[in-house]
Amino acid sequence: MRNIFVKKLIERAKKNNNIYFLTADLGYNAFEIFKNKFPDRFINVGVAENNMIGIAAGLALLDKEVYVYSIVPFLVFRSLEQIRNNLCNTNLNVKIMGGGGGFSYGEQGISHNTSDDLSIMNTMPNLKVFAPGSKNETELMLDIMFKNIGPSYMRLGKVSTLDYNIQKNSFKIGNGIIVNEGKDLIIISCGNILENVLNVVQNLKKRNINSKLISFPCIKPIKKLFLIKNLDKKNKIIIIEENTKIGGLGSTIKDFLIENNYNNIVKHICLKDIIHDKIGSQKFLRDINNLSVNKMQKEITKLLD
Amino acid sequence: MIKLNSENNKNLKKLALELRKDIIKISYQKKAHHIGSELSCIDILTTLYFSIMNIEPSIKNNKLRDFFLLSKGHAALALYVVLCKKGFFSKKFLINNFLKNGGRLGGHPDHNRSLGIEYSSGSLGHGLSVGAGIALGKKRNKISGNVYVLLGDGECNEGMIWESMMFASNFKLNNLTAIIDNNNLQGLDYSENIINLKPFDKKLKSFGWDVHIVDGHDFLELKKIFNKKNTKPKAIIANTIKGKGLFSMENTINSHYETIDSKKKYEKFIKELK
Repeated sequence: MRNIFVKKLIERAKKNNNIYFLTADLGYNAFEIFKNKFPDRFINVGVAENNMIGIAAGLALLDKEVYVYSIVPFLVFRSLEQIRNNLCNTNLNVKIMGGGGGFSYGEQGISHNTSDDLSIMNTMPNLKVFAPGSKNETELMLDIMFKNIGPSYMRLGKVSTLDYNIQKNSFKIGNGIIVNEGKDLIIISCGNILENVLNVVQNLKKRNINSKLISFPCIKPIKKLFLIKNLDKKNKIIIIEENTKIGGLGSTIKDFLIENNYNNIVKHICLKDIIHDKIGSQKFLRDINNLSVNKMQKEITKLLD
Repeated sequence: MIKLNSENNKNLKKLALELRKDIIKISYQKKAHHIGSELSCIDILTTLYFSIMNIEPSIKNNKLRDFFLLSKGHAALALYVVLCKKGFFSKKFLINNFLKNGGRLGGHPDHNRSLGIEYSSGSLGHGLSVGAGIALGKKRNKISGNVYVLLGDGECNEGMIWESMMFASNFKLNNLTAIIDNNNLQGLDYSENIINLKPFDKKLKSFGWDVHIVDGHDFLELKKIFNKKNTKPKAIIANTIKGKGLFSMENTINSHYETIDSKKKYEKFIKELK
């Protein structure tokens, strides 16, 4: 996803002199092309995320469009107050681009992985929160982010090999995307766990279980009208995210269901509210947290029986 | 370029006294605290706004303007009385909005360009980074105008200040000036008893700044240093007295949180003011 972002940002920066890219000394083998093309608009602030957010705010006060990059935990958790006070409360045009998220950094340990960034960012006023799950989704969400003035957060995980086609023009911010139509159950998801979810949907189809899959590459805002239109009151609903149970996409959907008197049976497949200190590949960590294709499939068929 | 509002030092002194009276009066009306912090920096703000900076309500959206950021946000009322005097809003607006339900002028300032408040503060340590960002933007656009950031000495306990210090010198932001309201008092004690910053000037110099030490209540000296040309970002350690001008509060720990809670106290303070 990071490479898609760099490519699209370069295209945009060619047309617009106001684009600035700031990094807290991360992004080896990714942002060099931007740096070479636009040396004046590439700012490496050093290993100083808090200062980076302040610098971004100052540039945005002079009407620049600023992109800040580091890996997810160093931005979201170290610089949360800077994000809250300097960007969100003041509604400045700064885009927070977080590398990784979830178990993207696998064996690098608990400092590099996050189970909770989407939850925390969901609470920030004015902030749009993006968690694309595929190449097409990433490209579309970047276009949406480019058009949207104001602060945004994007979780840039590893891009999956699986993808689906999107009607780009029909997407509006606040909506999800209907990836697959089906009458037997509803699956809702976001972020790059989508690759596993797509596999699950395909496998279920082979067993004659047809699921309606709704992807939310933008988890904030989500429009109530879209949910009313696309969630019926009978089907079982499965929500899948590589994020904690508290405060992420699942919470938003469950809030909607409760507040609007839906009585659907709901299963939230997500990360438990525990310390995720096991080491291993993203695949391994997903598996031990019940987010592998097999385990999700088992969970869903159990629910349908 | 817009002509600078030139006042002689005597006038600045007179003006600062008037603003001090406003601070005391409004603090009494609103039972506000942080009076000591406001009296400590009001001479610096008066000098900047009435003798140094290129800023008027008519150019509040002009990118060439000078920017002032009150990083030590708890001295908000000092900024408000200055902006009011500059004509950004009326005295009536100030009274009706300061510390009032539904009002727009909080105990710490919130970003509002139309009121002349360039940036939100209240959480210490952020202002110098934001100021450096504005200064960098001006440099990249090759546009004139300086950025002034007022820091507290206690605020310099924050790590982010030193991140931005390193950044500003590295990026040669000589259009950035940090003024440290060095009153040697902070929340609970004298600064030197909490985290001793000494030798402060040497620290700043070693971070690549052009460092000056001045009497923060001497208008002539302040003006001279503000006008001095610099090739590096400029740090002015302004030695000040917390509660300056109000003898009962001067250099006391209480001056940070003490309020004027009776008419008798208010009348005493107004008489005492100089």
